[in-house]
Amino acid sequence: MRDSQGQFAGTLARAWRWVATPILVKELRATFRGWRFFAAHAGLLSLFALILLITLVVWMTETDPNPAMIGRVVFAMFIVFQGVLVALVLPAFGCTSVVGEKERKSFDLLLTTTLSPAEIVWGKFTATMAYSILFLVSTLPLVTVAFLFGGISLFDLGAAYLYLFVCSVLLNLYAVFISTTVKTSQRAVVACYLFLVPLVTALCFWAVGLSMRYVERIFEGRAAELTFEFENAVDFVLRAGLPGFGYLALLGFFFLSATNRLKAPTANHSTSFRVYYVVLVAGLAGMSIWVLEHGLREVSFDARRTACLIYLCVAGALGVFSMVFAAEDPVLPLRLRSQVSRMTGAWRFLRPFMPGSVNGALFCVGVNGLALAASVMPLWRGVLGPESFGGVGKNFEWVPTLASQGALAVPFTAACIVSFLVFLAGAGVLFSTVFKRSTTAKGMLGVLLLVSLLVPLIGWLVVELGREPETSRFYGMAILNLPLAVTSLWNGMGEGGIFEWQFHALGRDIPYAAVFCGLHVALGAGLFLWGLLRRRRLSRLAEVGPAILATSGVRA
Amino acid sequence: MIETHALVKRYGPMRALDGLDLKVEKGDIFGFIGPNGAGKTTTIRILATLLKSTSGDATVCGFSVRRHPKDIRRSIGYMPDTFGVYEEMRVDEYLEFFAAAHGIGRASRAKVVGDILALVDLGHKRESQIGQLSRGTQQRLGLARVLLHDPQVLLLDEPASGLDPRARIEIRELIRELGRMGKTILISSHILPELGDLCNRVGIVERGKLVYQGTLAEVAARLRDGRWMQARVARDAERAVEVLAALPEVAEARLDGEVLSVKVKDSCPSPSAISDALVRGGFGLLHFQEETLDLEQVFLRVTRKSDTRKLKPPPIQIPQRDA
Repeated sequence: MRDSQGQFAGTLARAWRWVATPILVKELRATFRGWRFFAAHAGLLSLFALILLITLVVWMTETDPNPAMIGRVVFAMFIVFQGVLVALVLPAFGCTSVVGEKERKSFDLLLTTTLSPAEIVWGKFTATMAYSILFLVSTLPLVTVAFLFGGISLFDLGAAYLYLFVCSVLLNLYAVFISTTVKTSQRAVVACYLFLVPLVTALCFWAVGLSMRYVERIFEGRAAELTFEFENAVDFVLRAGLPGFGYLALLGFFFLSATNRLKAPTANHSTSFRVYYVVLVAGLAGMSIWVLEHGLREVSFDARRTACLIYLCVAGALGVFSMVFAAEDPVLPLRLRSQVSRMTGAWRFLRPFMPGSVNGALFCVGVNGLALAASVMPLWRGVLGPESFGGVGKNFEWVPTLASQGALAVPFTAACIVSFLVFLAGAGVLFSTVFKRSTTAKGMLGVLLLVSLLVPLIGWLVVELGREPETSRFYGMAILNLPLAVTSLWNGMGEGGIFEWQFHALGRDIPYAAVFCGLHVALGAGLFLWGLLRRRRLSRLAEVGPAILATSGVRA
Repeated sequence: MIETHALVKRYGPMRALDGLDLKVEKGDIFGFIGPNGAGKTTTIRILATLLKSTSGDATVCGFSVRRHPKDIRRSIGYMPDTFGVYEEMRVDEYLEFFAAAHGIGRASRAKVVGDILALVDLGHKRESQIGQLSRGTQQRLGLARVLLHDPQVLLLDEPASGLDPRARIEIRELIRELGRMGKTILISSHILPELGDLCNRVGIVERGKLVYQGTLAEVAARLRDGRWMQARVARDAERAVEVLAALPEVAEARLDGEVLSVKVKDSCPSPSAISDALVRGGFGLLHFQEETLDLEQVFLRVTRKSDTRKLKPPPIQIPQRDA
C-alpha cells in the first residue's frame, strides 16, 4: 500500500516537474513582482466590465426585454471580447518572451545551461499560457451576470472556454516561435501581428472550431444544441479530421521550429523536421485515401465530388511539401556531410532523412511518389468501373452523361499533378545548389510555384472570362494550373456557372495536356540533371577546401 | 583540457579566426590576450558552443564542440563580457533558478547556493534585489552563477571590464581562489598587469592567429635580445656608460634617461663585474637589477613583431581538371 502511494507520489512529482519548470517559476516571479502586469490586468478587467454594463443597459431599456435573450447577448459579447483578447492581446506576452532574453543579454546564459531547447521553449510557452489562463479565469466572475438572466447553461460556458483555450494554445505557441526568430522586441511584435491577424487567427478558427457553424452557436449561447454527428465520412474529414490534423500539424511546426532556433549551432537541426515531415505526409496521404474510399461509396454526387476535391487538394499539397523539402538538399556539402556521418549505430537508419546527399532528395521524391501512387489507387479503381467496388458503389458513375470523357479526365489530372511535381522537384534540386541557404532555396521555389499557378490563372481570366465557351481555344492553359484543372474536372456538373462548359471541353484538351505534361517532365528532368551536375561539382570543390570554393564563385 | 585545431571563423569576407591553435592544460589559469577584434570573444563563444566555426575543431574536456555540444555545456561555466541579470529577482532566487536549470535537485539546491554565496562573499546580499546591486557585485554574482554546477572549465570573457579598482581586485582574488581549487580557467582581459599576476600561462592572439602561447617567463626570455641589466648611479652617468662599455663582460651599454642599460655577453656567467666596476669607479651606485618584462611589455613587443611581419595569403591550389 505504502509502495503504491510512493509510486503515485513519484509519478506526480515527475509530472509536476514538467509543469513547474525553472523557466516558468522564474517568469512568474519576475512578472508578478512588478506593477505593470497588475495594471494591465486591472485595465482589461475594467474594460470588460464597462462593455458588459453598456450591453446590459442597452438591452434592458428595450420596450419588451426578453431575459433569456439578454442573457445570451451578454454571453455572446463576453465571448467575443474574450476571443479578441486571446487572438490579439495575449500573444503579445509570448512574442517578447525569448527575444526579451536576447535584449537583456541573458540568452547565452540560458543556452549554456543543461536546459534543452525544448525545455526552454516549453517553459516560455507555459509561462505565456499561465498569463492567458489567468486572464481568462479572472474574467469568469463577470460573465456570471449573464446567468442572472438565464438562456445559457454551464455547458455553454464550458464549451466557450474550451474553445478559447484551444485557440490560445496555438496562438501563444505561434508567438513564442516568432520570438525565437528575431532579435528585437519591436521586430517580434511587428512580425507577430503581421501574420497573426490575417493568417493564424483564420487558421485557428478554421482548425479548431469544427466550422464556424459551431462557433456561432457557442457565441450565441446555444452550445447545448451542438451535435457532433457527421453526415458521412467526407463530412467528418472536412469538419473534424482535416482541421484537427492541421491544428496539430501547426502546433508541431511551431514547436519544432522554435526548438531548432535554440539548438547549438553545431547540433543536428534536420532530423526532427524530417520525421515531422514523414508523419505529415503519412497523415495527409492516409486521410486522402480514406476520404476517397469512403466518399466514392456515397450515393450523393456532391459527396463524391467533395471527396475527390479533398483528395486532389491534399495529394497536391503533400506533393508540393515534398518538393520543397527536396530544395533543402546540400547547399553546403561539407557541413551537411559531417552531419550525416555523425549518425551512427541505430541512428544511421535515419540517414536518409538527413539532407547532405542525393539520398535526401531521392527520399523526398520517393516518399512523395509512393504517397501519390497510393492516393491514386482508389481513383483508378473508380475509373475501372462499378464492379471494382464489390457492389458497394453500384450507383457510382463518374459522369452521368459523358462517362468516357470522365474516365479520360482522371488520368489526365493525375498526369498534370505528377508532371507539375516533377518540374518542381527538378527546380528544387537545382535551387539547392544555387543558393547559400536552404530557406532561400525554398523561398525561390515558393515564388516559382506561385508564378506557375497564378500567371496562367490570371491570363486565363483576362482572356477567357466573359467569352462564349464554344469560341474559346485557351482553356488548355488550365492544365498549367492545378486548381483550375481540378475545378474544371469536378465542377462541371452544376447547372450554369462559368465552369460548366469546361468539363465537356476536356476531351479536346487531351492533346494540349499531353504537350504541357511532356514539357513539364522534360523541363523538370533537365533541371534535376543540371542540379545533380552542380552538386557533383560542389562536392569536388568541398573536398579540396573552402579556399577553392571561395575562388569558384560558390560561397561556402 | 581545452584545445583548438586550425580554428577558422569567417564573417563574410572577414576572417575573425584564421587557423587558431590553442592548448590549455588542466589546472591552468590561461590569460587570453589580444587587441580589440583579435578574435578572443569569437574563440570563447565557439568553445562555449554558442558559435559555429567555419572550419577546424575544438575540444573542451575531451568533447568536440562539433559533435558533443551538450556534454561541453555540462562541463563549462561561461561568463560573457556583458551579461544581463533578472533585475526583479533576488540574489538567491537568481542562483536557485540557474541551479535548477543545471539540473541540481531541489533538496541540494539551497545548500549549493549557500556555499557558492559564501565563496563569492555575497552571503549578506542573499535577499537583495539584483537590480539594486553595484556592477562589481553583479559581476561577482555572475561568477557565482558559473560555479553552481561545479564545472571543470571556466570561460571568462573580460570578467573585470568596467569595474572600479576595488571590484577588480576582488574579482582577481576570487579567480585566484578558483585556480587554487583546481579549476581550469580561460580568461580574456584587456587589463594586462592583472593577468600577469594571475595567469600561469598566456596566449596572445592577433588578427585571428595565436602569435604566442606559454608562460610569461618563457616569452620574456624569448623576446629579450640577450641578458640586460639596469643600473642607476648618483653622479656622472655618461662617464659610467663609457666605463661599462669598456668591460670585457659587456656587449653593449647605453643610457636611457637616468637608467644605465647594459647587455651582458653570453660568455659572462655573472653580472657582478658590472656592479663592481660602478662601485670602484665611485659613481654612487643606487640601484642594480636584471631587466624584467611585464605582460604589458611582452604584449606590446609581440604584437609589434607581428605587425611588422608581412602576412602572405595562403597559396591557393586550383585542382587539375579531369581530362
